[in-house]
Amino acid sequence: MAVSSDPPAQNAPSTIAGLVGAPGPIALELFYDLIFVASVVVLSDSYSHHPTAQNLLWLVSVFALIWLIWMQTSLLFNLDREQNNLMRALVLGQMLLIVLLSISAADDLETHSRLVGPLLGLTLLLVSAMLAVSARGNPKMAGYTRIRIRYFVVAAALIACSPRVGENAYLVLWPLGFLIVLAPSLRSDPLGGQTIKTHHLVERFGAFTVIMLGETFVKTALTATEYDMKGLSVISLLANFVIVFAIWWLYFSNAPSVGPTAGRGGHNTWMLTHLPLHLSIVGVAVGAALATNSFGKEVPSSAALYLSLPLCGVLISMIVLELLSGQAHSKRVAGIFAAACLAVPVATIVTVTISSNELRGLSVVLAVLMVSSVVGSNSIRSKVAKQAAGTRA
Amino acid sequence: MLKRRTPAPAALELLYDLFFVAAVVVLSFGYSHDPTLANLAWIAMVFTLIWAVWVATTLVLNLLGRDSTVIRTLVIGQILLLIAAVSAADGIYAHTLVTGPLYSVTLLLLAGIHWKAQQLKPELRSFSIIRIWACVAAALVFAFSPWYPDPGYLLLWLFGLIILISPAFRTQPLEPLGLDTKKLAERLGIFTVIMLGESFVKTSLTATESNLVGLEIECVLGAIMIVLSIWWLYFANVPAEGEVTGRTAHRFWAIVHLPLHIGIAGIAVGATMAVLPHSSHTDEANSTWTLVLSVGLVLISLAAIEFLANDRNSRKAGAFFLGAAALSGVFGIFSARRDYVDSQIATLVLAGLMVLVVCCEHFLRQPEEQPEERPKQESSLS
Repeated sequence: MAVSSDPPAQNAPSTIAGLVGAPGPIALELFYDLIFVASVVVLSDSYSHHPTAQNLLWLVSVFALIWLIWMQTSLLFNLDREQNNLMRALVLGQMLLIVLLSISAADDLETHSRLVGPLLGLTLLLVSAMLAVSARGNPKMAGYTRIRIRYFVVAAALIACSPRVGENAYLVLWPLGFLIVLAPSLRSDPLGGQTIKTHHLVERFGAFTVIMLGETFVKTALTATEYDMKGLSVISLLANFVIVFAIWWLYFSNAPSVGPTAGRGGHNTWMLTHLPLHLSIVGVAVGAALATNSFGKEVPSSAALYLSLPLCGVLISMIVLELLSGQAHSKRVAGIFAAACLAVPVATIVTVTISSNELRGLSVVLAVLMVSSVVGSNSIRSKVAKQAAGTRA
Repeated sequence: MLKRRTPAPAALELLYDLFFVAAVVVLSFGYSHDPTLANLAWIAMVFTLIWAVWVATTLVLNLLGRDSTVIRTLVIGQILLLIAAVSAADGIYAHTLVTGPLYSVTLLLLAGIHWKAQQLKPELRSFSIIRIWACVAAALVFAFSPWYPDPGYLLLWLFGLIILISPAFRTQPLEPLGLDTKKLAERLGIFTVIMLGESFVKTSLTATESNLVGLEIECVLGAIMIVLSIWWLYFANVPAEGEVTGRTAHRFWAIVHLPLHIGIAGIAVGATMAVLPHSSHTDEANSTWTLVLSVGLVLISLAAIEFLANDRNSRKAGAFFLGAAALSGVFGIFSARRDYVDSQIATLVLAGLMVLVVCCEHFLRQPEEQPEERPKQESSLS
């Protein structure tokens, strides 16, 4: 990550600066992340305006595929840090396509699904081209890139053709395309002899997660501007910010320092667990925006699910990340998260029963629950660390 | 020594940047929906206030160079600025009652950060004490501003801003206090890239108000090209050149980022007006002038940064950027004389100009030797 907490190193070049006369890899990666998150905000905004089950399925499918493209590109950047102008141009092209496809996808399923499939296919082809450029510049990458190029081209064709097959064909063809893109990672030698730079990978996922959390502020604040300040629930706004800060704390106080577990399965599971985590963070943003604007309005009691379900998703993802880390305190911390996860639906039912058309109370209760999880997990970690120090002494 | 696990400073800094940029996006939406001169002055004022807090906080954290729970809490407390931005976006005549006091509380939080910083690092005492007084005095001015009539309180705000930034003009060199110039350059770079990213958010969100076929898709592409060009021009040069040394130049270097960031926000606003030209609150003249002025502002800021670097290549690049800014101004005047050309054409012309600037600037500079690679670092988010 560009932001460094190291002691002053006045003579070293800035980490955000790369080659002379061209932006460095970190500036490119951060910019690239922001495009993806912009598209996520657009998709979540679309869902906020058309909250139907069909639209949810559609947007989740688009989100999952663009997330996969982000992951594959980030892996390529991880294994091959050399970037030439052709590679930069392909990345910028990919960013352009992502913006267009998210605008198109936000139009909803009926109107523009015809364009989203081909645009996704084209984006996958650009990823294949990036793999080819990498292999040309660095022959050691050939083992990694060759099989992926073939698989990605097949997946691109499948996804691009989906609108021709039928309106709902994406429900079958896109998951198939998703699995085809993932397939090379499930081989016995998934990286083709290359070694993954774990620190870089952890930083990339961490940066993406923090940017996703930041976009929650963007979404909530933007939704808040649709009304005058008087029409907003400031208590909900603050409670939702507390929820986001709690997620941020839970993730960053442990996940980046532990990183992915060693081994093929561990790495893949660690990376893929971020998909439901990020998806749930988007859900929290949608729920937070709804709760902030619910002040003084009649909202159906089912609206509470927008806030509580994604929060359960975040907690379940945290449980998996915690168990994958395999530390001494992991099981106990995961137990705390599991208890919080169980408490969320109970709190939802209780608050909705007391006040069925008011999301303010629920936001506050969930914020308290998340803060309790932070305090609980921190105290367990501290206790286990003290015990370990005592044993060593 | 036992230490509780907490998120790394880098994770906090990135989140901190993001909620500032969220505030900027919210403000730019406020202007997009009411593009009047009075609202522009209002939004620019609130933007400058928010930016001043960001720079002040970043600087003191840079000088402190370490982390503490109290500081972390105070930094997170600055989220109040986002609520101030939400209230400010209601417009110049609505909710100024809330914006001033909220900003005032944020300044008190900043004073708290300074107080804790000088406790943790006694060398910062002279730096922090004067700033604590400035923050408290400015906070009082802002807290009482709702008692002044609309929009007269803006003068009072200007007075408060001058009080807030006045300590920066003292003759106190920051390098002996442990200023990490490289890190400061990085922080400004990251803030810039996030601002650029947010312009995509704003353009895309506006674009979703209409179906893809109903949009001026050329405007979307043009706006994206302009943003990509700014990204290239900034990151190909500025972080590599780094922050200039010397007290005055160093302050000027940081302050030049204010018009740069205002320009980037302006491009996002202009692009959204161009993307949906038929919406009720905008017209061709508004979108063309917003884009022309914003592109000009960005180019002038980049030229100032180049001149501050003060080597032969930079001076050439700076002069070239000024020429390009003049050219965009000429286009603006030409467009006005022709009763404002289509916003589609205006966006594409400016996008073409920016791409041309990138290409020419790339070949204008003499090739330089690549700096040696840094030793591998541990993860900064962990």
